[in-house]
Amino acid sequence: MRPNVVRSILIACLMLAPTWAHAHAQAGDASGFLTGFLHPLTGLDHIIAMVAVGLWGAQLGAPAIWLLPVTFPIVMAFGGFLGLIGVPVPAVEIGIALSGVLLGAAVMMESRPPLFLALAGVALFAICHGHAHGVELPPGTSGLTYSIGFVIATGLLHACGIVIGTIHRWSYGRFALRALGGLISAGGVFFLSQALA
Amino acid sequence: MIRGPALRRAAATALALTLAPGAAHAHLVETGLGPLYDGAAHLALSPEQYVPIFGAALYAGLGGKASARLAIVLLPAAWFVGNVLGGLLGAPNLAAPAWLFLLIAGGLVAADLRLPGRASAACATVIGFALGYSNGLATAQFPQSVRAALGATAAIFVAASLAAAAASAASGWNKIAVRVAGSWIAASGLLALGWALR
Repeated sequence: MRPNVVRSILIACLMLAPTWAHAHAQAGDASGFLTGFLHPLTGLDHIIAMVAVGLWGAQLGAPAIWLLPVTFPIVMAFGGFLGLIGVPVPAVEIGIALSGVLLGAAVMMESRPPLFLALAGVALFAICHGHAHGVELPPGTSGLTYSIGFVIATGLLHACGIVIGTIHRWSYGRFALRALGGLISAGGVFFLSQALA
Repeated sequence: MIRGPALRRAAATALALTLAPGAAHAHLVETGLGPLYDGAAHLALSPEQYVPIFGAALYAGLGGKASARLAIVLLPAAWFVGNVLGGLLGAPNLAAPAWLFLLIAGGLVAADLRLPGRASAACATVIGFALGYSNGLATAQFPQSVRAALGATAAIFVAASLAAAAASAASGWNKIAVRVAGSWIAASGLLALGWALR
């Protein structure tokens, strides 16, 4: 065999040989977390409702101010769980839009229903929001990190609402808060009209 | 021209080289700093491990300072023992799913369930052992898995110490923040269960 032919064959073999395979541990984790984290932040209908929960909690004071952020994520996750296992929740988009309308109205009117009624209403909306988040995982992402991302983002939106709601202690703050509730409610009406269209 | 045996030899060499499998580096992240750091980095990139560990340490902290002190020693130790056993036994049927630990640890913290004595530290230890077992199964094929486990154990000790100390000292709004963190962990567990059943 001529040396140049042997060289050519060896070079061709080396070019075709498989390279070292570094397995993709936790593939999709980073994108899963970011996708999940950004999901509630990229939908204005989610944002206004989550902030409204925090604002209302701040208006209601203890124990609602801490009961809402503790219970909401778990109930929301239950909604996501229903979506994941294929249990349909009717009119999810209408429920999400209604959450903006009613929670905004509650903030605007400084509504103070019995605690169990406030928690039950918020829980109902939490199921709608969770269901919408739960069924929208893009392919190739990690379900666990997606879930962690959107639970954290939702919790931080509540925290934003609670922090903004601390202006409630001042008289002008109380007025500003009610005005903000009106804006949220108007936004909810807009989303409701879209959902019904 | 190549003919006869020479052609066959060349073809066989080409085939062997082309089909030869390369080395597969599975699971552990390679930091370039050795297996001790690889183990710690692996843990840092495994939310199914560190999130429930964080939750278990928070729960031990909520049980009081005595429980927290016990947990910061027992939790990493139990994780290490579980990890070694998982690597040795290699029985995947004994490993519990990640969502279970998230639900238990997060649920206990969110509910701030008070157990008698140092039972909260015992809970944290059991969770640590079970998580270590799962990790041991996943990393058993790594050549220096025991050294990697030591690195991960050290990272768990640091994380558990910080979390347990913060939770044991928390009161008022800080305690609510700890319970909210538990709620987030439990919520993630419930969703992870949904993904598992999907």
